[in-house]
Amino acid sequence: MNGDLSVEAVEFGAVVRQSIEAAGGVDVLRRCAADPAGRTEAGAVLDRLGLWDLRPLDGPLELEVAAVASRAAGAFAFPYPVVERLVGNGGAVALVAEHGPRVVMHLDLPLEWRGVDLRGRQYRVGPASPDPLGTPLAPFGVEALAEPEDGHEVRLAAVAITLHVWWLLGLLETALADTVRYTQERVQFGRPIARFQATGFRLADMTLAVNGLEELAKYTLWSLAHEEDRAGALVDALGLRVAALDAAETVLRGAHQLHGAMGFTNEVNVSWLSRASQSVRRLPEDRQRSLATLLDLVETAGFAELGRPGTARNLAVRPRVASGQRTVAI
Amino acid sequence: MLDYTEPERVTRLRTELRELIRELIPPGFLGAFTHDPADFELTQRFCRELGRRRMLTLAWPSRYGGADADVWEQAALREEMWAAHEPRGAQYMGLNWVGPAIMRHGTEEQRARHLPPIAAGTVVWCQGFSEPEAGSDLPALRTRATRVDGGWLINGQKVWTSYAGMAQWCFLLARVRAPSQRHDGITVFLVDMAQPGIEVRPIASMLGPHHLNEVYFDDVWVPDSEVLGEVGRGWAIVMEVLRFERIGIARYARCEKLLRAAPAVLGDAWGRLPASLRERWALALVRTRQARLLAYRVLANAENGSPEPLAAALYRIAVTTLDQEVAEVLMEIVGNRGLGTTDKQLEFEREVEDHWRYAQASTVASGTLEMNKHVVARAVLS
Repeated sequence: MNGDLSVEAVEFGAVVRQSIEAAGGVDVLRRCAADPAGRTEAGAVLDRLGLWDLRPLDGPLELEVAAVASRAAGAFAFPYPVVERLVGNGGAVALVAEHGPRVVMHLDLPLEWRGVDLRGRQYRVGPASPDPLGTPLAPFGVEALAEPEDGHEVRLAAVAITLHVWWLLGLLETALADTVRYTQERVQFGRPIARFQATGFRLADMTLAVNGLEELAKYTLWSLAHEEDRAGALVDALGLRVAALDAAETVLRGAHQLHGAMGFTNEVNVSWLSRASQSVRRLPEDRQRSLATLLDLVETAGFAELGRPGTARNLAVRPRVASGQRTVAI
Repeated sequence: MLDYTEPERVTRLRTELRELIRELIPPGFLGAFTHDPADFELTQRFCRELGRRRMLTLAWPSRYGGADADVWEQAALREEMWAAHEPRGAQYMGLNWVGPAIMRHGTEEQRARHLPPIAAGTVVWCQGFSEPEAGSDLPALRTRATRVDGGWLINGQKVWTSYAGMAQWCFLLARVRAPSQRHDGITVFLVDMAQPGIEVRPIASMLGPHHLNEVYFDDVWVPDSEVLGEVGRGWAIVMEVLRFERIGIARYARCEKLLRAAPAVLGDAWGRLPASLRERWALALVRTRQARLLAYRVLANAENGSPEPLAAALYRIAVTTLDQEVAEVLMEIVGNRGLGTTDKQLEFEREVEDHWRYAQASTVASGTLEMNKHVVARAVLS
């Protein structure tokens, strides 16, 4: 067993991280929130790295590299459709809700967009209006039109879901690190608030949330590359998604609480990270709807034993059907 | 590159263990610690069979009669046993850490005396650590060992001592002098529980019989030959032992087994459960996987020779809280049957009830939730 990412992936992730830091880090998000047109320039930072030549569906190494690139972008809540383009095979793939109203991040950018929902159903997508919402929680969200198509791309959906979680993982790691640092700097009652046990316990909960998510995220990458049962792979990805949304609640709730009022200000990165996290936490479906889909899929496709691809079916409660609204076509 | 493939030898081991359990352990078995003495006898027979197959000491080095199993085979053994309500009974303590501690710190004579009966599964050990005033704060222990000709006299009281009533030996911590520092003077004694002056008083509890006892030591004589390691320097051994315990019970394995079994046991009734409850069930499966992965990270660190207290504490928090979370989900799945039943045919419901009661102690036993959070906070803030 090996729980370490490949050296190539780690090194590439460091390069992506350095490039985004050099471009301004979270300040890129601040600038683009004020002027969404800045996203094109932001994307150019990644163009130079050859990111869009990656084909994460083609093999485990490219999948690992794509995951760490997503994590590096998430660490700064980089305002560009990184995951969407990584899985886009030259275009961009949006995760879309099964039912409207639908919002897709960055759908206003001129890319070859197509859509897929959490079950893998394909959609034709396009913006319902030319401009992004510009709201505090979704400055780059675009109201979307989506027309279901006949086909399913279950593996594509699984990989897209998983890479979005890697993006969120990077964001949560930054939020945790920022919060640890802040609690050591902020003095109340004559000592850093980190020295209060209540603070330490909250940081422990946040640390567990991040570490638990990281281990599951790594496992899911491996599973996607080795699980031949596509429905089983989608179950793993959706399980990861729900776990990630719970981790985000723990980490960002803690980050806000421990930053106090300071954490709401535009001056502090946590404020921006918290808002930017909403794109993954609410889209294409929120936690409750994601969990309902997870249950449906676990009951039909099963849940594999750890490290033993192909064992998912042992747990299936309901028979699968070839097609339909509630189950995945295999 | 990432690789979580279960090695073939581990899968083979699991298959053999599952077959053995099917063959020797009757349905409805809930472990050795019940009011029915037949359950304890069953675990003794099971241990003899494991011993015959050299699987009881799977984890031990071959020079002590073991099979040099790697950490993954050891994990599979722990998982399969715990998932089946630990049919080795109280043996796991002797096998998992008393034996290894004696291997590392014992004299040749101690190894020759103690290891063969542990390996054969014919002896039960208990752990004389906690005291009324020394729980999480273990170095505050007060049990005294006084020097006498040829040995020591032990006086004091231990509490929460599992299996003390059935144990032949005790791995006991006592002080040999007034401490200059908290850890100073703590010594490990291997105490024959048949010695005069030892009184075991069971503590009735919701966990079931045998789990909790008080043990009183009144001028209990222990020869010099039963001091483990150096006199006064037992704390280092304790720390090592506690590290073994940190990974200890594979609680996630029983959680997963019960969660997986639930839909088939309920049959048609499964679909009538509220969707919100079935969603919690699905999420619990994911959380079980997460806890297992955190355990495997600790094992990987151990395999690489770089144990990391942070990783172990994170795993402990995850697995102990998981145990309680899963216990709640399962109790709600079985409904009123979770309150207990006299119908022995309702094996799953009885398992769920037993699991719920035992899980209540998961965040207290072997290092509390708070102690583990403290370790994490200290590591993160250092």
